[in-house]
Amino acid sequence: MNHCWAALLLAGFIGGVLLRSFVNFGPALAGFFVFLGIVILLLSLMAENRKLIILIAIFIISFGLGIARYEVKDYRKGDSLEQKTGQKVVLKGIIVDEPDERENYTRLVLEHEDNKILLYVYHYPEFHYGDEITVSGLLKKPESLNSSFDLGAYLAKDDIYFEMLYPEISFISSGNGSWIKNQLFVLKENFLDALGRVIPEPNSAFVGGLTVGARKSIPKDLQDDFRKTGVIHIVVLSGYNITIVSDTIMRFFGFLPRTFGISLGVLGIILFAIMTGASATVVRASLMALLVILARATGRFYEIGWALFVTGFLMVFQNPKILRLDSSFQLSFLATLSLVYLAPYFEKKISALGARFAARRGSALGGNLRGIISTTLATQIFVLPLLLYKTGIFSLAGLPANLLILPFIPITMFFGFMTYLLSIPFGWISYALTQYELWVVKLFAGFSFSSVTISNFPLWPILVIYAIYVILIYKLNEGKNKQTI
Amino acid sequence: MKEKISKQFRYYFLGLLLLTAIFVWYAVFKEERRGLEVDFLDVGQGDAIFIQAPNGNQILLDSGPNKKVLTELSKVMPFYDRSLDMIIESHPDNDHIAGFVDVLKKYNVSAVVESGVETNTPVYQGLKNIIKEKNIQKILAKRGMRINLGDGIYLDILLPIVNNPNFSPHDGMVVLKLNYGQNSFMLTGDMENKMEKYLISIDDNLTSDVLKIGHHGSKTSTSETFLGYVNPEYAVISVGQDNKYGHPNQEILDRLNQFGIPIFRTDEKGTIKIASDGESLHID
Repeated sequence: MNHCWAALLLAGFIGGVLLRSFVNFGPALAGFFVFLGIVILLLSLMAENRKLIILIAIFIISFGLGIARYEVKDYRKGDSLEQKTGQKVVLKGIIVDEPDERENYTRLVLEHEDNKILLYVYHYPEFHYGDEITVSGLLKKPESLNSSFDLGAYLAKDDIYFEMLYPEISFISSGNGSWIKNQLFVLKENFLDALGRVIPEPNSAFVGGLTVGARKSIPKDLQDDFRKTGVIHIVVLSGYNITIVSDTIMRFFGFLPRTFGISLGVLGIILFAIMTGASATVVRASLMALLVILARATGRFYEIGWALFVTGFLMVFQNPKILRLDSSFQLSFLATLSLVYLAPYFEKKISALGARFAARRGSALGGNLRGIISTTLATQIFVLPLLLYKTGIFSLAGLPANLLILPFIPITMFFGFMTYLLSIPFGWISYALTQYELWVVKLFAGFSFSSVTISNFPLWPILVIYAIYVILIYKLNEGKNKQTI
Repeated sequence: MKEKISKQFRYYFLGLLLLTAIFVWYAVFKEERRGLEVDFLDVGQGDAIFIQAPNGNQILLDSGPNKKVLTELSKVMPFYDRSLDMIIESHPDNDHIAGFVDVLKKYNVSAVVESGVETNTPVYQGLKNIIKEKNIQKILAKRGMRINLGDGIYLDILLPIVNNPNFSPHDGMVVLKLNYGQNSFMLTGDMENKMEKYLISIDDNLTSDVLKIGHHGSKTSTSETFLGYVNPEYAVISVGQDNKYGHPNQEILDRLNQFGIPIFRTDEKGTIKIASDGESLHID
C-alpha cells in the first residue's frame, strides 16, 4: 500500500506524456486535468472512503502534469528561421554531431543560433564533428517519404526542426566542438578503421554496429535480412545489446570471484558508453544496464525493479519525447525489465528441466548456457511486441534466430575490441564468428515463411499485450514473495 | 575452482584448434586458382571489374559509386587478403571511382592507373589526395602500354592515345583489352560512339569473346559497327536496378538480340563471374 501512491504517480505521469505524444489538444487540457484532480482532492475531504478518492486524484493530477511537461518541452519561441522555411537561405553554423554516413548520402546536424538543421550531403568532401561551415540551399520542414513514419516528430525529439537537401557547403574552420567529444569520435573512427583493415565487409560494418553502435553503412539488403529475422536490434539500436552484453560478461566470468565479474561488467558498460560517444541515448541505456548489474550483485530484484521504474520516469521527465520516439530507450527499458523480473524465473524453470535430462552434468558451461538461453528468451518475449509495432514485421524466425545468434554476440564484441588492440588473429576470429551469425541471418531470411509484414500495426493490441505481461509478472512475483515468507 | 577453470580452458582450446583447421583448409581451397578470373561486380549503377590471374595478381578496374564494392570484393577475395596489386580508374566519373576512396582506406594498393583526365569533383580531388598521402605509384595509361599479369595474361591499353587533363571524361577514357591464350575481354568503360569509331579506325584487332557494353547500355554507345568489329560471344552490362537514367537502353538490348549475343546483366544476375583457362570461357 505504501508503494501504491507512488506507482499511480508514475503511471499517471507516463500516461499523460503518452497521450500527448500521440494527440495534441493544446495546453489547456493539462490545466483541466490538474484542476479536476484538485477538485476531487478537495471533495475527498467530505467523503467517507477517503483513501481511494485521494489515489484517484493523485493519478489525475499526475496525468495532467505529464501532459504539461510535454507541452513545456514542445514549446518553442517564434524564431527567425521559422519564417524562412521554403526559401533559399545562407547559414553559418557548426556541425554538432558526428556525421551519419548512409549508403547514398551523409547526414550532418548543423547548429545555427540555437536552431538545429539536418543536412543531407554527398559522401565527399568529408566533414567532421566540430567543423564550422557555411551552407546555402532551400530550408525545409522535415518531410517523410512514407506516411507510416513521421520524420518530423522523430527528429523533433532531438530538437531538429529543419532540413536541407544537398546544399552548397563551404568549409570555414575545424575544431569548434567540445574537445572531449572530438577525442571520442576520433577514437571511434580509428577503431572502425582498424576493424575495416582486418575484417572484410560487410562483417566489419556488422562488428562496428555491435561494438560501438556505428550507424555506418551496413548494406541495405543485409539490414532487411536483419529485420526479417528479428535481430535488427543488435546492430541499429545500441541500447538493447548493452544490457544483454553486460549481463553476459558477468555470466562469462562467473567462475571468477563475484566482485571481479561485476567490475568487468561495469567496466564493459563504461567502455561502451565512451566508445559510442556517450550520446544521451547511450547514457540512458548504460544507466539501465548498470541497474541490472546491481540487481545481480545484490540479489535484491524487488528494489532494483523499483529503481528501474524511477530511473525510467526521470528520463522521461528530462525529455518526454523519448517515450514514443526513442526506440533505443524503449528497447533497453524493456530488456532491463525482463532481465530483472522474468529472466530469473526462466532460469529456474530451465534448470529444473535440465536437471531431469542431465542430472550429473552441472558444468560451468552448462550453467552459462542456461543463463544465456533464459536471458534471450526473457528479453525476446518482452521486446517482440514492440519490434512488431515499430517495424511492422512479425518475425516467425525471430526466436530461433536470436537463440542461435545472441549467445555469440558478447564474445564477438569482445574479439571486436581485441581486434583494435591486437589486430590480425583476433580480427580473423571476429570474422569467423560474424560469418556464422550472418549465415544464420541469411538462412532464416531465406525462408519464405520467416516473417509476416503487417503495415501500420495499431498501438492498442501492443498495449494490451504489455498489460497482460505486467499482470503475469505480478502473479509470478507474488508467488515468490509468499514462498520466501 | 581450479578444476573448473582448466575444464573451461580445455573447451576454448579445442574451439581454437577447430577454427585453425577450418582456416587452413579455407586458405588451401581459396589459393588454388585455376585460370583467369574476371568478375563484373554487382555495385549498382556503375562499373567495378575484378581481375585475378592464376598466380594471384589482382587488379580492380573501376569501383562503382559507393562502399558496396567492399562487400562485393570480399565475396571474390579470400578474407585475409587485404591488398590489390593495381587499381585502374577508367575515367573520373563518380559511378566509376567513388568506391576507390573506401578501397584505398581498407586495402593496400601498389599502383594506380589513370586516364589523365582531371575533374573538379570533390570525389576525384579527394581520391587524388589519398593517393598522394599514401604515396602510391601513379601511371598514366596510354595506347601501346601492356600490363603483364604473368602466365601469358596481358592487359593491353587501347585508349587514350594522349593524356589530356582537359578532355571530357568519356573522350579521354581508358579502354582495355584483356588477353589470355584464345580468350579476350573488351573492357570499354563509358566509351561513346565517337571514340568507338575512332578506335575502329586505328585498330583492326578488336575481336573479343566478351564485350563489357559501354556506358551501362546507354544508347550513345555500342554502335552497330563497333559491335560488328568486336564480334563478341557474350555481352556484359554493368547496371543498377531501376536506375534514373533508364540504362540499359531498349535499342541496345534489341541490337544485341539481333546479333544473337547473350546478355548478362549485373542488375539481374548480381556479380557475373567469368573464368578462362586460355581456351574456353566458363560463366556463372
